[in-house]
Amino acid sequence: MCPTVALSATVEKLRQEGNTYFNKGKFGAAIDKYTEAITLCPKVSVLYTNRALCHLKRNEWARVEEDSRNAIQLDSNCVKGHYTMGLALLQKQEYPEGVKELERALDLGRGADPNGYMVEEIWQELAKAKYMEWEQASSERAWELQKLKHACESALIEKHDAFQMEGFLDEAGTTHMQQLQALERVFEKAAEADTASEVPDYLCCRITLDIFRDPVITPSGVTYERSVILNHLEKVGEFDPITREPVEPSQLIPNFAIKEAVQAYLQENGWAYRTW
Amino acid sequence: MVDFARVQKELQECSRDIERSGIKVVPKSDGNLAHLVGTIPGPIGTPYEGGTFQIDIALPDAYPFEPPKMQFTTKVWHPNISSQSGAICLDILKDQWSPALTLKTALLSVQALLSAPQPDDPQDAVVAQQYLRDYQTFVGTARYWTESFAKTSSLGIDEKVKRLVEMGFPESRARSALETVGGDENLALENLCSG
Repeated sequence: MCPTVALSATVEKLRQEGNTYFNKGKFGAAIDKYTEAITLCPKVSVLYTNRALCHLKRNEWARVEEDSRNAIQLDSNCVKGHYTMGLALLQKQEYPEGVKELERALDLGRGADPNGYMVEEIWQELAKAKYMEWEQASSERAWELQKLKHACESALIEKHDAFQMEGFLDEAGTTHMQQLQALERVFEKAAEADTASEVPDYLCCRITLDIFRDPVITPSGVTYERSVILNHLEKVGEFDPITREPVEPSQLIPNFAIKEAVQAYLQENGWAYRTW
Repeated sequence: MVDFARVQKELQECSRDIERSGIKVVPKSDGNLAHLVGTIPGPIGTPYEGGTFQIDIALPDAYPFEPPKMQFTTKVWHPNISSQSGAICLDILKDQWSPALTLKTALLSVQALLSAPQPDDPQDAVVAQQYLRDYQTFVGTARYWTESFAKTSSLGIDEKVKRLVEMGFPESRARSALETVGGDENLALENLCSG
């Protein structure tokens, strides 16, 4: 925290000037303002996250990482800090660490106040990274299965050929065919988990038609994506979109059970991260 | 900004379900998801049976927080649909819209409206009057319009108008002649020549 009231007023003014430059797209000028503020008062995490966003716009990733790290050290619950940190790590191709930061940002961002709400942005980045991770892992698994299947088939055929040479009857031929078909089925089943299909309806919001990020439940018992139900209550009217019962924003309750179901589902079905 | 991710999902869901619902939604032109064309089959047991009705769909920027704008492009004789413009009077397309509705459910409601006209809340006063005072004539006209404009044979009506215009008839006369004879090009030509 800043030592005196006068100083904190100066820092606040610099921060606002920085924000104005940022909104105008003048990232260099914004960085100067934030840097000045940080010099005066080096213990305010938001100054670092704001400067990190400027560096991010200029593709200066080492600086993004440094500022994000500072921000997180000052405030470990800082959504933006974890978010930009995650992006910087992904940029460096440190996927597991980057994903971890984004997941942390998402967890902290859920239920945040509507002004600083950035769940959708975080989700998009996280989903991209997770999807790439899945794509790589699943193609490795597919390759492995393919090789294994081939080996099993050859073994069966070899065994069958040996049988035939020893003069066994047709019966062996039928069993052989059945075994090959069974093998086919077993491997088909094994590949199923990595086959993209449809996310079940109960894990999807009835407004976005997409898998839940931050599910909330209304007094009628219907679950929606937080940002869109808030948008609906504000723009369309204060009623539940499905039951048309009255709802106020304050009556929305996080639905942790669905949130966990979504996480478990995504764990098993990485392809479902595909959101584009 | 229209939520195009949602629209995309709606279109996929709709095409998966087309066998069962008979309801089709496709983009009017490639790459523009804000302007679509919906198709509904006329409900069985109504004067609209056997017809295929096209509906022009324009999505406002705030979709799905604002209702889609729907309008019949196939001419239809119905108390709640303008016989002139195709405008539809249906509460869910106005103040009763909810973002939990989709293009498919909205079109299903339009289809239900064809089965259950509401003459007390009309869009087309002339049709509503006829419906209330002379129901038999209403059914006859509605069926005739279905035959004339909503059958596959009548779908190419613009083509036919064009050919008649090329023969030297004014477009408005060509169109009304085709409408009078129910879409038959030869009869329309006779009509135009004798008239």
